[in-house]
Amino acid sequence: MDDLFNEMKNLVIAGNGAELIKRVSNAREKGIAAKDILFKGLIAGMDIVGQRMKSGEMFIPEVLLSARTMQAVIDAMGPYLTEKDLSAGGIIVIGTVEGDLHDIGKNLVALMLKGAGFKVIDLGVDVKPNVFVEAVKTHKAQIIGMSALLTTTIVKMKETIMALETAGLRHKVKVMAGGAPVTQNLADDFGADAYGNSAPMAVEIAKRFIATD
Amino acid sequence: MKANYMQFNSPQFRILSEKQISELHFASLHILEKTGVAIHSEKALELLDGAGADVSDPKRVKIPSFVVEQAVRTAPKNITLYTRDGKPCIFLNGTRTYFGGVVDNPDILDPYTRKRRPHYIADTVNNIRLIDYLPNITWIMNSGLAHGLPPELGEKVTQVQCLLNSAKPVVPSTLNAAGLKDLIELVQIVAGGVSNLRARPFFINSVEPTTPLVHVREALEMSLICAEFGIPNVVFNMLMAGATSPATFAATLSVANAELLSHLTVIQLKKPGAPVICGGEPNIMDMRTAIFTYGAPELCLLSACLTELTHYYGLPMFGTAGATDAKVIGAQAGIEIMHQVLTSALSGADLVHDVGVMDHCTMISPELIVMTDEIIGMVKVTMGGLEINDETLSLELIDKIGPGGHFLNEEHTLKYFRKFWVPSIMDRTQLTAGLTAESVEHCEDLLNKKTRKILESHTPPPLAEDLVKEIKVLEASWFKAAGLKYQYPVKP
Repeated sequence: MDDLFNEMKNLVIAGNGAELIKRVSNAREKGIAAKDILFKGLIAGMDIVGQRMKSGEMFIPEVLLSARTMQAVIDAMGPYLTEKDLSAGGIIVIGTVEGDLHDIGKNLVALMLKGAGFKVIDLGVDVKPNVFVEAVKTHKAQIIGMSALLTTTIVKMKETIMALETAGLRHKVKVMAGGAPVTQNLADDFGADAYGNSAPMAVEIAKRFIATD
Repeated sequence: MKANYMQFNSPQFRILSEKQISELHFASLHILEKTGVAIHSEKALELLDGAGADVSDPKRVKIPSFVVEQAVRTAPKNITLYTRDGKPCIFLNGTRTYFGGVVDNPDILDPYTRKRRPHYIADTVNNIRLIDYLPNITWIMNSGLAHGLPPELGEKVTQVQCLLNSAKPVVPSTLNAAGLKDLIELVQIVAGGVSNLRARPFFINSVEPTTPLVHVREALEMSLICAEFGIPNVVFNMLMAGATSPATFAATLSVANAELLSHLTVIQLKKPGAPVICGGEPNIMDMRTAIFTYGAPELCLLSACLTELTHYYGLPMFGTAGATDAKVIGAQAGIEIMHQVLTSALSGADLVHDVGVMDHCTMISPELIVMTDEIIGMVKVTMGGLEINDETLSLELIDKIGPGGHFLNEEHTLKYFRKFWVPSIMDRTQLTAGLTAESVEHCEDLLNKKTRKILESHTPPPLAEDLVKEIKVLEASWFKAAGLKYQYPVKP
């Protein structure tokens, strides 16, 4: 069984969807639980991808290929995976703050989080504070990820945190902030729980939040 | 006399052939005609509609080539910038390169503590004074974010300090149309009215298309205001090959150019002849960290190509140099910036920005500004070429001294040796008896010392007292409108 999980991991790393689907079918025929396939095969593969990205062995387009491959296989597994399995890693709401249309970094973080087993609700760009708040309520999110590229929209991160406070939700969610001009100092200033300067770092932080939740 | 003799006054440098440039040009026109650009402004859509563009889908506005080509024709090919007091100082026509800095960054690398900390208005004052002193930094961008002030107020206070602390022309960074109008109200005080500002511009706006192929409302509205007031407007974009544009450089340049041309078209439709400076930072995404990497050699290559493209249209180019991914002043900063300055100068980018920027545009370093000034000084020597004539060949002198002699005592030497470039921060000492590597003042020490000396001694030319008074009244009204006490936040 470990061999099968190892093969799945390697196929996630290689981004080979066709072969991966075959292995997943094998595993299902052998009666392996969907949750085990997801966590011990697919997500374990993405963990290694994340490590290799951090160490500079794998580059972003290769990481994205792995994430896409894994997502396609999850989609192909369909109802075999329950909603509970899919959100077992944690639920996170993510978006680019109000007034900002830049989303390449945010998209990258969302993909990496999905790859790490999180259920990601991506609110897109130009997300108003109350939209973040509503999404936290609707999806029972444990984490909010906010992104900004313009130095002038960073202030919206603070407003979003204030809106969470007003709605009485601040203690229920962890807030992480990122984006080119955001710094640890600024994130501390407006009261975020964490700042990350890269997609792998965002994943690390989110995992830490869930582990200590 | 010399016959049929051509002399180069600078090195000759070219990346693209004419055919290659026209291929990129036609690719850009194809993108604008077939793919289209997103236009987030009703006013801009109306202008494009009236000119013959297909605006039925604002997310894919398709602009026919003849409309774009007409815009290129009406855009001015020669723009002169002036000092605060109305003297012509910068000539943008593809023949000269001018370096300037810095931009909005949240932090500063403090030259006294050599540590990173938030950037305050007092730092803006220092950066501007520094640039005012340095001979090779000839214009100013907004210098740093005003920590502790709301952004809408911060950009205005920063502009006030630019006006008070240097006569060099300024490219501010503006948030939106309302902010730009406030800044125009401010600078016209110094110009002596809006018509003087139009006649002798020392204030240049800048806007950015959002790659790929999106023109956001704020940028378009600011461009339309600039066209109306005759204020020169920089349109520049930041592409990341492989991420926000295709991974191939030809495609990245075509997309960059399509964005610039379509923005230019809106401006020219609003007011034919409105001064526009095109440019950008066509670059790669660093595929390990996802950052926009200022140190990438690809940025140098692609910027030089974009310069050739904008010059093909006869338009001035807004380029990039003086920025590093490094977090400390050292080898990496020196390597990256020398490469940027040299290729910017060789390609002939007209206005070259970003001097003094570190750590992916999150930190300003006054020392880096001074270092870049030195680098520009070195590059100027290379760019100066050499003159060849009977006097400079000095064959008679060579014959007079003959084999084995020396030239130190010659009148000819006294006449010319002062043209040699003299470093101000490069260590040229030789380790001899009594002198060890530890006792030498190295480049980084000399740089720090020079930076501090300028900060402690330079007094910029003052602005007339009545103008200062008028500016302060206006500034006070902004603080009042923001519900704040009229004082600058200071570092704790």
